[in-house]
Amino acid sequence: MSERSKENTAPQGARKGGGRTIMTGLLLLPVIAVLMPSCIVLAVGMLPTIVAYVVDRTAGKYLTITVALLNFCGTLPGLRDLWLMRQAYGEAARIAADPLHWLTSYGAAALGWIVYLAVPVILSMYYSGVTAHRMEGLKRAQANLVESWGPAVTPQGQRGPAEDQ
Amino acid sequence: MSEQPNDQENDLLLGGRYRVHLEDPLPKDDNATAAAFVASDRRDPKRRLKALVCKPGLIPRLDIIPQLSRLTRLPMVNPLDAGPVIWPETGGRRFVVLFDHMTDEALIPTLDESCAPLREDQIFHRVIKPIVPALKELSARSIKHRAIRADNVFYTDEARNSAVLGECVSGPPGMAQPVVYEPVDIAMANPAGRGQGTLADDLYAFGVLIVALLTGGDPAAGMSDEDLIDAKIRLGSYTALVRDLQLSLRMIEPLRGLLCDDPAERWTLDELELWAGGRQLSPKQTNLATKASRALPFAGNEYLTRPALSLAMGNRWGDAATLVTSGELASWLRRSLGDEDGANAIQALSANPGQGPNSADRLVSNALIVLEPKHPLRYRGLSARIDGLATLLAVNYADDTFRAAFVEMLRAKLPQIYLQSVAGKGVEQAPLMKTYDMFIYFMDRPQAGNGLERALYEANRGWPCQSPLIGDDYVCELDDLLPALERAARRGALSERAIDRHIAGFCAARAKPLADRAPSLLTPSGNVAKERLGLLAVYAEVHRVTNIARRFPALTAWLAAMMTPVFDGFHNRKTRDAMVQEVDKVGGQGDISTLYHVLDNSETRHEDETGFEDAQAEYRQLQATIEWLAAGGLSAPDYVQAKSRQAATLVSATIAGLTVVTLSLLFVT
Repeated sequence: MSERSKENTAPQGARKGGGRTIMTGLLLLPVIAVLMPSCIVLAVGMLPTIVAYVVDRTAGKYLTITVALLNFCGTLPGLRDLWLMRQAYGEAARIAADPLHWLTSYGAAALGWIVYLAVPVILSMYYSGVTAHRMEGLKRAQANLVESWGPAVTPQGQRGPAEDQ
Repeated sequence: MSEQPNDQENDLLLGGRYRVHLEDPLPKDDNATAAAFVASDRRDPKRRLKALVCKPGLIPRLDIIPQLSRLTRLPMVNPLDAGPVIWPETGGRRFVVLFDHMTDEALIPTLDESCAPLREDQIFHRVIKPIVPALKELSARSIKHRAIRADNVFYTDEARNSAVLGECVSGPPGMAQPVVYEPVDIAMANPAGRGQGTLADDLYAFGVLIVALLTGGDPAAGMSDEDLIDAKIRLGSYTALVRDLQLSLRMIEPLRGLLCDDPAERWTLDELELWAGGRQLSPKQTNLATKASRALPFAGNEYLTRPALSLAMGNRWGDAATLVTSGELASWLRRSLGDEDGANAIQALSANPGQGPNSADRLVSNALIVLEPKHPLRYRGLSARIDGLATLLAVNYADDTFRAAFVEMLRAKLPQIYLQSVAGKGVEQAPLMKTYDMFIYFMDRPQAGNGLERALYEANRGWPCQSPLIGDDYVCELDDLLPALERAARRGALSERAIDRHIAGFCAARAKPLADRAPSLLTPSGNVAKERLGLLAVYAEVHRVTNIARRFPALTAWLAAMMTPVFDGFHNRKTRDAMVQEVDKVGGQGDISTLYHVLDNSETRHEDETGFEDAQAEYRQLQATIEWLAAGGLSAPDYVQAKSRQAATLVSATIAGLTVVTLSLLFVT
């Protein structure tokens, strides 16, 4: 009976998730239809993000997020120009083919890549410094405990407090 | 102008009033238990007083001194005051009893001296008539004199018309009495083991006194103590003492009555009073022990009676065991005295003499109890009346050989066996049985506060503490202990030891709250701090139950110095330092109780313990963090990678946010 219930619940969950995607797609369709020129500009400009998404194997997709955020900033000037032209298809094609737009979009994406690659190096250096500083502080705290309570406070403290005096 | 007494005078002042003049001894008034000195009254300088200074190791009869000091009209030398004074020669204290100084002479100044015999009528008017009322008074108050002898009865005037009894309080009862003045059963006991005695014993001594006055000296002059006792047994006391003295029929009556060897048959005070009032009473006949049909040879002599054999066996202890084990004694009792029960008892003893090196001694002692239960309890050289054992132990406590014999005797339960053998024969069994069971109870518990020392002070309520720590300072009351220790601390006598078995036993016996607590506080635990605190707890309790307002600066400072292991028991340095300061302060004030409460503060100790446990946990946690950091906890690639991804995302989001805001502003403007 329990096996049957498991069999029943799993497809139900899958159906639920699939249903939600379809529902989201259906809701987005009118938006895409209305904003098609912007979508064209974005599709071209956000190509590095798509690449990052494909190569990103981390659980939280941190690379994708890091690149996407800056990549999106890079596409914003193009989108601004497009929206100033009331989202004309011709203007969208022009912007999509504009090398300057590519430069800003892909340059920003590159900056995202750089940030993603540089932060570990910087953090590693930072943590080395923090480790030394924290160890010094912790040892000082231990010394204070020994001063207040005598060597018996240490796990190795076999001697009595009298000897401490 | 009133003179301020100097220090030495202060030391020798009793009750702030009477001064003992050590420079003015009275050797002719010395007795076996005390030395006599002239004393004076600061309020009445003309008054002549005599101070009897008790010998070290002996104790006066503290139980009757207050009673006697109130009986001022009694024809007797009564104590005026008593108490310890500082003895300049040793710096210790001696117990002094003060009396009005009798300028008059004793009936016979010294016992080995001779004097002119008194006529019977002189004895009647000068001695018997005035002294019988005194004995009556004492008897009404259940006081036994136990010191009636010719050198301790005094004429009250130069005309020698009347006599009074001398003092009886300067030593244990009967201890100063010569053997001649004691009935057989007491005379056989060691002088310190003669027990409290009875009125019958006083009347016997009174009878001997009369004989001494009639003969003009010692009625047993030239006889050894053993020969005298033997003669009293063989002939009866009357015949042994009176011998060929010519007496009137009127005088024979009281002497036969008073010198009767059986206390139950001896004249009572009422009979003596009746006789003194002129009534004729029939003279008592000498009641000698039953003679055996055949004499028993023993140690070169032959014996026909049980008491004579008992005396000889007690005096020749080594040969006695052979007599018992050979079966001769049992056979003699059965065949020559017809005592089937006694013979069977002796046979049972010799068939089962017990184990161990002292089995022969136990056998002889048991055999003597069977042979003559009226005689004192004997064990090797030890001989005492059943109620005199405790005093005998106290007087001879310092003698290791004696103490060993005493312990053997107690372990063999000989006092209990003796008491059972005399059941129903006038000996008050229950309290004595309780006392000797108590001895065994404490001896079985060897820790300080129990043991033989505890039994010693429990059984001898007025006995001074024998601790070497307080030297010969006379400490018979708990109130005197801390002042004595204070004096010892001042002279540096406490530098090595804190408390000994005597002080522990004394405190447990005298302070009710310490009766059970002292032994547990003083049991060695291996924890020096706990042991020292236990010692302090005992002294603090003594301070509390005596006079908490009194201060003992030297003793407290000495105790405080001993408490270093207790301070060290505290883990926190600040707590410890604060406690040291507090203890130094209290130590200077001389307050032992407060010192104990400072050191035994359970709240502080609990805080220290819990604080220490928390500190240990914190230390362990810090150590774990240090080890984690040292092992690359923060700089490990995985950790750095994980944190970097989050950081990169954060940086990216921040830049993006700023860019969006900037562009929005540009777009708007």
